[in-house]
Amino acid sequence: MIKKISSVLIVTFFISTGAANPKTFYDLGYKWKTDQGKTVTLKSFKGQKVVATMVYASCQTACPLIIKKLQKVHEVLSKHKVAAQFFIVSFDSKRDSYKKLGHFKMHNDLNEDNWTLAVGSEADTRAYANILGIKYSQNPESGEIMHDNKIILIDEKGKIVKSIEGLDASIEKEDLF
Amino acid sequence: MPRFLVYLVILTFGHTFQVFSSSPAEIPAGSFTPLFGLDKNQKAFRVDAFLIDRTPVTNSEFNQFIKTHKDWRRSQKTSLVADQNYLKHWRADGPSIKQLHLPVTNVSWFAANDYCTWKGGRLPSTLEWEYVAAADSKKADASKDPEFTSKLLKWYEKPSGDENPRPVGANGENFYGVKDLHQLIWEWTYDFNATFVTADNRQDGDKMKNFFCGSGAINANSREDYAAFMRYAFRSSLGASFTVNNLGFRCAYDKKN
Repeated sequence: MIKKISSVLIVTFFISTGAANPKTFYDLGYKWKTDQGKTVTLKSFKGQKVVATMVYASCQTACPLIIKKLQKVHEVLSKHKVAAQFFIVSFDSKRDSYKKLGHFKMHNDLNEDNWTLAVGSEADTRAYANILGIKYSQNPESGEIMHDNKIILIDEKGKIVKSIEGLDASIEKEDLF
Repeated sequence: MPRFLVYLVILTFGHTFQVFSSSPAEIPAGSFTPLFGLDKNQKAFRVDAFLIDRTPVTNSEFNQFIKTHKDWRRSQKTSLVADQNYLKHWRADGPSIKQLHLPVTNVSWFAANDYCTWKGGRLPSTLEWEYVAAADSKKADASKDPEFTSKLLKWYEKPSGDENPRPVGANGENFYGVKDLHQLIWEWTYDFNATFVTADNRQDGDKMKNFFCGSGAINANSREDYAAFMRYAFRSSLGASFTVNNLGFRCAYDKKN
């Protein structure tokens, strides 16, 4: 009996440490706080298509444009009845609280259920951006962030299938899944 | 001396040497003008005091990490966090005796990052790494010294190949007591790719020019420091899952007050 319990404990220990060597997008152990204040991991998207990008709330220049482009993606996918989750992570783990992201979401009319904005620790944010191939740097003194503008498409198996670069918002179904 | 005796000596004294040299070097706070990253109105960044490993992480040290982090075994590699050449110089799931004190290479950013976290540290930022690497044996900032930079450039010019790699610690120490920042391997930094922002980030025209124009280094902060320019360009060409046969790392640590 004791043997059984301890082996169960060992198994759960290995599972709960998360995968240092993730096989799919959903296995990445990073923790996020959503605009609703909930703590989630990417596991919550398991089996679904994900459209991912990164922005930050105080961004004046490129971010409104990438949100516009994302809304266009949303529109095209809805029109073709393709279900997907839209997951936007903040670059600015220091200054973007989940509440601030909530305001950002409202302000940009990202109302449907499949929009999620989220913020995580600095370390998780950096590693996640590296998985997506999104480069960024924060000026340590001004706090300003320079970053790539990319939209990443993940299929329902958790495989990164496409990276759409740039701010040009002309999107067709063929460009997507 | 018979070969096994050499190994015995390496095993015994190599280990002792490791213990003596293992406490990281203390790097005092200061101000530093990196080649890239400053806004137009900025002259220099402040660097806070921190600690950094005196030598790059060795195959032996990395193997210790793998013993408790089986997910990072050579045979467990996946495409998300390490490419197919991960630890390819190891014959099996561990280094050979000859490789023990050589710097570990063929490791991805994710592997290096996890190793440093396990050690209670982190990868040094590019700013921190460049700050320490600007020192020669006598002064903290030799980046404008043509003798220093031309020596580095000579190493960069050599083709990488598999020419006899040297154990860590064989080069002399710099002003801070840190070794092997140059002329052994390239090293990962925490924000290795941060300088080179692609896609059409609209205000970045000038920054892109620093890399693309033939006279790129002229636009950078210091014309003399072409060696630093090479490092920024190399780092910018990497993806976080890449593994390269002459790219390793060392860890940094926050200073506890």
